[in-house]
Amino acid sequence: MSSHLRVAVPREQTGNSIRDSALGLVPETVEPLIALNERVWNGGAVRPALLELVRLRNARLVNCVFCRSVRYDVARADGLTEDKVAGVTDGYEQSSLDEREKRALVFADAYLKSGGELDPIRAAEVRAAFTPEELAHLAIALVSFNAASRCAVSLGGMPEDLPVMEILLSQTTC
Amino acid sequence: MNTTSITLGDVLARAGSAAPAFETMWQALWSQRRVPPALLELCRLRLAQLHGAAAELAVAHPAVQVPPARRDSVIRGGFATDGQFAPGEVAVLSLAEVYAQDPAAITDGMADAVRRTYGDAGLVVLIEALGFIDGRIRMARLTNALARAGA
Repeated sequence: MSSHLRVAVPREQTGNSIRDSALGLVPETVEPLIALNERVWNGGAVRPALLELVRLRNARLVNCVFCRSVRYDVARADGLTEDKVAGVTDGYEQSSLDEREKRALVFADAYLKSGGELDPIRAAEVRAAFTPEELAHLAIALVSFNAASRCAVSLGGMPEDLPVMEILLSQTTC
Repeated sequence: MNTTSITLGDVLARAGSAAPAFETMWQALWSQRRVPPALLELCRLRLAQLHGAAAELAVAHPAVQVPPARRDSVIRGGFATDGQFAPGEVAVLSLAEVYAQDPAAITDGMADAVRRTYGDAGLVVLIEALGFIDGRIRMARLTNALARAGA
Protein backbone atom coordinates (compact mmCIF):
# COMPACT_ATOMS: atom_id res chain seq x y z
CA MET A 1 0.00 0.00 0.00
CA SER A 2 1.44 3.37 -1.01
CA SER A 3 2.12 5.70 1.90
CA HIS A 4 2.06 8.82 -0.25
CA LEU A 5 -0.97 10.36 -1.91
CA ARG A 6 -0.88 9.68 -5.64
CA VAL A 7 -2.81 12.79 -6.67
CA ALA A 8 -3.03 16.35 -5.41
CA VAL A 9 -5.91 17.54 -3.25
CA PRO A 10 -7.93 20.62 -4.28
CA ARG A 11 -6.30 23.93 -3.37
CA GLU A 12 -9.56 25.41 -2.18
CA GLN A 13 -10.77 23.80 1.04
CA THR A 14 -14.48 23.99 1.79
CA GLY A 15 -14.86 22.28 5.15
CA ASN A 16 -16.41 19.17 3.63
CA SER A 17 -14.10 16.21 4.19
CA ILE A 18 -15.18 14.47 0.97
CA ARG A 19 -14.97 17.51 -1.29
CA ASP A 20 -11.64 18.57 0.25
CA SER A 21 -10.06 15.19 -0.48
CA ALA A 22 -8.66 14.12 -3.85
CA LEU A 23 -12.23 13.27 -4.85
CA GLY A 24 -12.83 17.02 -5.07
CA LEU A 25 -10.69 17.13 -8.20
CA VAL A 26 -13.77 15.93 -10.07
CA PRO A 27 -16.73 18.19 -9.26
CA GLU A 28 -19.07 16.31 -11.58
CA THR A 29 -18.77 13.15 -9.48
CA VAL A 30 -17.96 14.48 -6.02
CA GLU A 31 -21.22 16.36 -5.62
CA PRO A 32 -23.38 13.29 -6.39
CA LEU A 33 -21.14 11.30 -4.03
CA ILE A 34 -21.71 13.79 -1.22
CA ALA A 35 -25.46 13.65 -1.84
CA LEU A 36 -25.38 9.84 -1.82
CA ASN A 37 -23.49 9.75 1.48
CA GLU A 38 -26.06 12.06 3.05
CA ARG A 39 -28.96 9.92 1.80
CA VAL A 40 -27.32 6.70 3.01
CA TRP A 41 -27.18 8.04 6.57
CA ASN A 42 -30.39 10.04 6.60
CA GLY A 43 -32.65 8.60 3.99
CA GLY A 44 -33.29 4.93 4.56
CA ALA A 45 -34.91 2.21 6.61
CA VAL A 46 -31.77 1.01 8.40
CA ARG A 47 -30.71 2.82 11.54
CA PRO A 48 -27.28 4.50 11.69
CA ALA A 49 -25.86 2.25 14.43
CA LEU A 50 -26.39 -0.84 12.29
CA LEU A 51 -25.07 0.90 9.18
CA GLU A 52 -21.95 1.77 11.14
CA LEU A 53 -21.31 -1.87 12.03
CA VAL A 54 -21.54 -2.77 8.35
CA ARG A 55 -19.28 0.14 7.41
CA LEU A 56 -16.70 -0.94 9.99
CA ARG A 57 -16.83 -4.56 8.82
CA ASN A 58 -16.08 -3.26 5.33
CA ALA A 59 -13.27 -1.06 6.65
CA ARG A 60 -11.72 -4.00 8.44
CA LEU A 61 -11.78 -6.33 5.42
CA VAL A 62 -10.55 -3.69 2.98
CA ASN A 63 -7.97 -2.63 5.57
CA CYS A 64 -8.70 1.07 5.19
CA VAL A 65 -7.03 2.72 8.18
CA PHE A 66 -8.99 5.94 7.74
CA CYS A 67 -12.33 4.15 7.59
CA ARG A 68 -11.51 1.90 10.54
CA SER A 69 -10.67 4.84 12.79
CA VAL A 70 -13.81 6.87 12.10
CA ARG A 71 -17.07 6.75 14.03
CA TYR A 72 -19.99 8.72 12.63
CA ASP A 73 -21.67 10.96 15.21
CA VAL A 74 -25.12 9.86 14.06
CA ALA A 75 -24.22 6.23 14.74
CA ARG A 76 -23.05 6.99 18.26
CA ALA A 77 -26.15 9.07 18.87
CA ASP A 78 -28.14 6.04 17.73
CA GLY A 79 -26.51 3.84 20.37
CA LEU A 80 -23.30 2.56 18.77
CA THR A 81 -20.76 1.64 21.46
CA GLU A 82 -17.15 0.49 21.29
CA ASP A 83 -18.32 -2.82 22.78
CA LYS A 84 -20.47 -3.27 19.68
CA VAL A 85 -17.57 -2.25 17.45
CA ALA A 86 -15.36 -4.84 19.15
CA GLY A 87 -17.80 -7.50 17.96
CA VAL A 88 -17.09 -6.75 14.30
CA THR A 89 -14.29 -9.31 14.07
CA ASP A 90 -14.01 -12.55 12.16
CA GLY A 91 -15.58 -14.30 15.15
CA TYR A 92 -18.69 -12.12 15.15
CA GLU A 93 -21.01 -15.14 15.09
CA GLN A 94 -19.84 -15.89 18.64
CA SER A 95 -19.90 -12.26 19.77
CA SER A 96 -22.50 -10.46 21.85
CA LEU A 97 -23.93 -8.76 18.77
CA ASP A 98 -27.63 -9.44 18.38
CA GLU A 99 -28.95 -11.75 15.66
CA ARG A 100 -29.97 -8.95 13.33
CA GLU A 101 -26.52 -7.39 13.58
CA LYS A 102 -24.92 -10.73 12.85
CA ARG A 103 -27.12 -11.25 9.79
CA ALA A 104 -26.13 -7.80 8.53
CA LEU A 105 -22.49 -8.84 8.78
CA VAL A 106 -23.23 -12.11 6.94
CA PHE A 107 -24.71 -9.96 4.18
CA ALA A 108 -21.58 -7.78 4.18
CA ASP A 109 -19.23 -10.75 4.15
CA ALA A 110 -21.00 -12.34 1.19
CA TYR A 111 -20.34 -9.15 -0.73
CA LEU A 112 -16.84 -8.49 0.59
CA LYS A 113 -15.36 -11.98 0.76
CA SER A 114 -17.34 -14.07 -1.74
CA GLY A 115 -18.04 -11.70 -4.62
CA GLY A 116 -21.75 -11.79 -3.85
CA GLU A 117 -22.17 -15.54 -3.49
CA LEU A 118 -24.23 -16.72 -0.52
CA ASP A 119 -25.48 -20.23 0.19
CA PRO A 120 -29.27 -20.69 0.27
CA ILE A 121 -29.53 -21.31 4.00
CA ARG A 122 -27.62 -18.17 4.94
CA ALA A 123 -29.48 -16.21 2.27
CA ALA A 124 -32.80 -17.28 3.78
CA GLU A 125 -31.60 -16.20 7.23
CA VAL A 126 -30.65 -12.78 5.89
CA ARG A 127 -34.01 -12.41 4.13
CA ALA A 128 -35.82 -13.31 7.32
CA ALA A 129 -33.94 -10.71 9.35
CA PHE A 130 -34.71 -7.68 7.16
CA THR A 131 -37.54 -6.20 5.16
CA PRO A 132 -37.00 -5.74 1.40
CA GLU A 133 -36.71 -1.99 2.02
CA GLU A 134 -33.99 -2.54 4.63
CA LEU A 135 -32.08 -4.93 2.38
CA ALA A 136 -32.15 -2.43 -0.47
CA HIS A 137 -30.86 0.28 1.84
CA LEU A 138 -28.15 -1.99 3.23
CA ALA A 139 -27.11 -2.85 -0.33
CA ILE A 140 -26.70 0.78 -1.35
CA ALA A 141 -24.88 1.61 1.86
CA LEU A 142 -22.46 -1.28 1.51
CA VAL A 143 -21.58 -0.55 -2.12
CA SER A 144 -21.01 3.09 -1.18
CA PHE A 145 -18.87 2.29 1.87
CA ASN A 146 -16.82 -0.24 -0.07
CA ALA A 147 -16.21 2.07 -3.02
CA ALA A 148 -15.05 4.80 -0.64
CA SER A 149 -12.68 2.51 1.27
CA ARG A 150 -11.14 1.03 -1.83
CA CYS A 151 -10.79 4.52 -3.26
CA ALA A 152 -8.85 5.63 -0.19
CA VAL A 153 -6.56 2.59 -0.42
CA SER A 154 -6.04 2.97 -4.17
CA LEU A 155 -5.17 6.65 -4.08
CA GLY A 156 -2.50 6.14 -1.40
CA GLY A 157 -1.47 8.27 1.52
CA MET A 158 -2.70 5.77 4.09
CA PRO A 159 -1.06 6.03 7.53
CA GLU A 160 -0.16 2.83 9.37
CA ASP A 161 -2.46 3.62 12.25
CA LEU A 162 -4.87 6.26 13.52
CA PRO A 163 -6.73 6.76 16.79
CA VAL A 164 -10.48 6.39 16.90
CA MET A 165 -12.05 9.71 15.93
CA GLU A 166 -15.58 10.96 15.61
CA ILE A 167 -16.71 12.56 12.38
CA LEU A 168 -19.78 14.75 12.14
CA LEU A 169 -22.13 13.78 9.36
CA SER A 170 -22.52 17.48 8.73
CA GLN A 171 -18.80 17.62 7.82
CA THR A 172 -19.50 15.34 4.88
CA THR A 173 -22.76 16.81 3.65
CA CYS A 174 -22.28 20.59 3.71
CA MET B 1 -34.96 -12.38 -13.27
CA ASN B 2 -31.19 -12.19 -13.29
CA THR B 3 -30.04 -8.84 -11.96
CA THR B 4 -26.79 -7.32 -13.27
CA SER B 5 -24.82 -4.19 -12.50
CA ILE B 6 -26.79 -2.48 -15.27
CA THR B 7 -30.23 -3.30 -13.84
CA LEU B 8 -29.38 -3.25 -10.13
CA GLY B 9 -30.93 0.18 -9.67
CA ASP B 10 -34.38 -1.17 -10.49
CA VAL B 11 -34.08 -3.79 -7.76
CA LEU B 12 -32.85 -1.30 -5.17
CA ALA B 13 -35.52 1.31 -5.91
CA ARG B 14 -37.35 0.43 -2.70
CA ALA B 15 -34.45 1.79 -0.63
CA GLY B 16 -36.14 5.16 -0.25
CA SER B 17 -34.37 8.39 -1.05
CA ALA B 18 -30.95 6.69 -1.12
CA ALA B 19 -32.02 4.91 -4.31
CA PRO B 20 -32.21 7.92 -6.64
CA ALA B 21 -28.99 9.27 -5.14
CA PHE B 22 -27.33 5.93 -5.90
CA GLU B 23 -28.51 6.09 -9.50
CA THR B 24 -27.47 9.72 -9.89
CA MET B 25 -23.96 8.76 -8.80
CA TRP B 26 -23.94 5.87 -11.28
CA GLN B 27 -25.08 8.13 -14.13
CA ALA B 28 -22.48 10.75 -13.21
CA LEU B 29 -19.71 8.20 -13.67
CA TRP B 30 -20.97 7.31 -17.14
CA SER B 31 -21.57 10.88 -18.27
CA GLN B 32 -18.24 12.39 -17.19
CA ARG B 33 -15.67 12.78 -19.96
CA ARG B 34 -12.34 12.50 -18.15
CA VAL B 35 -12.15 8.76 -18.81
CA PRO B 36 -14.07 7.62 -21.91
CA PRO B 37 -17.24 5.73 -20.91
CA ALA B 38 -16.45 3.10 -23.54
CA LEU B 39 -13.25 2.39 -21.63
CA LEU B 40 -15.23 2.10 -18.39
CA GLU B 41 -17.48 -0.41 -20.13
CA LEU B 42 -14.40 -2.45 -21.02
CA CYS B 43 -13.37 -2.29 -17.36
CA ARG B 44 -16.83 -3.55 -16.41
CA LEU B 45 -16.44 -6.49 -18.76
CA ARG B 46 -12.96 -7.29 -17.48
CA LEU B 47 -14.16 -7.20 -13.86
CA ALA B 48 -17.14 -9.36 -14.80
CA GLN B 49 -14.83 -11.90 -16.37
CA LEU B 50 -12.61 -11.93 -13.27
CA HIS B 51 -15.71 -12.47 -11.10
CA GLY B 52 -16.93 -15.26 -13.38
CA ALA B 53 -20.17 -13.31 -13.71
CA ALA B 54 -21.67 -14.73 -16.90
CA ALA B 55 -24.83 -12.63 -16.65
CA GLU B 56 -22.70 -9.45 -16.68
CA LEU B 57 -20.90 -10.51 -19.84
CA ALA B 58 -24.22 -11.01 -21.60
CA VAL B 59 -25.28 -7.37 -21.19
CA ALA B 60 -23.91 -4.00 -22.27
CA HIS B 61 -24.16 -0.56 -20.77
CA PRO B 62 -26.88 1.17 -22.81
CA ALA B 63 -25.02 4.48 -23.09
CA VAL B 64 -21.88 3.22 -24.80
CA GLN B 65 -20.87 1.15 -27.78
CA VAL B 66 -17.78 -1.02 -27.82
CA PRO B 67 -16.47 -2.66 -31.00
CA PRO B 68 -16.84 -6.45 -30.69
CA ALA B 69 -13.14 -7.10 -31.34
CA ARG B 70 -12.10 -4.86 -28.44
CA ARG B 71 -14.76 -6.36 -26.23
CA ASP B 72 -13.57 -9.88 -26.96
CA SER B 73 -9.94 -8.93 -26.43
CA VAL B 74 -10.66 -7.53 -22.98
CA ILE B 75 -12.77 -10.48 -21.89
CA ARG B 76 -10.07 -12.83 -23.14
CA GLY B 77 -7.41 -10.86 -21.25
CA GLY B 78 -5.39 -10.16 -24.39
CA PHE B 79 -5.64 -6.37 -24.32
CA ALA B 80 -2.04 -5.76 -23.28
CA THR B 81 -0.48 -7.54 -26.23
CA ASP B 82 -2.85 -7.71 -29.19
CA GLY B 83 -2.21 -4.18 -30.47
CA GLN B 84 -5.81 -2.97 -30.34
CA PHE B 85 -5.32 -0.59 -27.42
CA ALA B 86 -3.36 2.59 -26.84
CA PRO B 87 -0.89 2.64 -23.93
CA GLY B 88 -3.24 4.72 -21.77
CA GLU B 89 -6.06 2.25 -22.34
CA VAL B 90 -3.80 -0.66 -21.44
CA ALA B 91 -2.81 1.22 -18.28
CA VAL B 92 -6.46 1.65 -17.28
CA LEU B 93 -7.37 -1.98 -17.92
CA SER B 94 -4.26 -3.23 -16.15
CA LEU B 95 -5.03 -1.13 -13.10
CA ALA B 96 -8.62 -2.39 -13.16
CA GLU B 97 -7.39 -5.98 -13.05
CA VAL B 98 -5.26 -5.33 -9.99
CA TYR B 99 -7.99 -3.25 -8.34
CA ALA B 100 -10.41 -6.15 -8.62
CA GLN B 101 -8.07 -8.42 -6.74
CA ASP B 102 -6.54 -6.06 -4.17
CA PRO B 103 -6.48 -2.25 -4.36
CA ALA B 104 -3.51 -2.22 -2.00
CA ALA B 105 -1.49 -4.00 -4.69
CA ILE B 106 -1.77 -1.06 -7.11
CA THR B 107 1.73 0.29 -7.60
CA ASP B 108 2.86 3.88 -8.11
CA GLY B 109 3.92 2.87 -11.61
CA MET B 110 0.43 1.65 -12.48
CA ALA B 111 -1.15 4.83 -11.15
CA ASP B 112 1.39 7.02 -12.97
CA ALA B 113 0.71 5.21 -16.24
CA VAL B 114 -2.98 6.17 -15.97
CA ARG B 115 -2.17 9.75 -14.93
CA ARG B 116 0.11 10.26 -17.94
CA THR B 117 -2.87 9.94 -20.27
CA TYR B 118 -5.85 10.96 -18.15
CA GLY B 119 -4.36 13.24 -15.48
CA ASP B 120 -4.97 13.33 -11.74
CA ALA B 121 -8.71 13.79 -12.21
CA GLY B 122 -8.82 10.89 -14.62
CA LEU B 123 -7.17 8.59 -12.09
CA VAL B 124 -9.67 9.71 -9.44
CA VAL B 125 -12.65 9.09 -11.73
CA LEU B 126 -11.30 5.71 -12.74
CA ILE B 127 -10.86 4.59 -9.12
CA GLU B 128 -14.34 5.88 -8.22
CA ALA B 129 -15.89 4.15 -11.21
CA LEU B 130 -14.15 0.86 -10.52
CA GLY B 131 -15.55 0.97 -6.99
CA PHE B 132 -19.13 1.31 -8.17
CA ILE B 133 -18.77 -1.05 -11.12
CA ASP B 134 -17.17 -3.80 -9.06
CA GLY B 135 -19.58 -3.10 -6.22
CA ARG B 136 -22.64 -3.35 -8.44
CA ILE B 137 -21.40 -6.61 -9.96
CA ARG B 138 -20.98 -8.07 -6.48
CA MET B 139 -24.28 -6.68 -5.22
CA ALA B 140 -26.19 -7.91 -8.26
CA ARG B 141 -24.92 -11.43 -7.57
CA LEU B 142 -25.86 -11.13 -3.90
CA THR B 143 -29.30 -9.83 -4.84
CA ASN B 144 -29.77 -12.86 -7.09
CA ALA B 145 -28.69 -15.21 -4.29
CA LEU B 146 -31.24 -13.63 -1.95
CA ALA B 147 -33.95 -13.83 -4.60
CA ARG B 148 -33.27 -17.52 -5.20
CA ALA B 149 -33.56 -18.16 -1.46
CA GLY B 150 -37.04 -16.67 -1.51
CA ALA B 151 -38.26 -18.47 -4.62
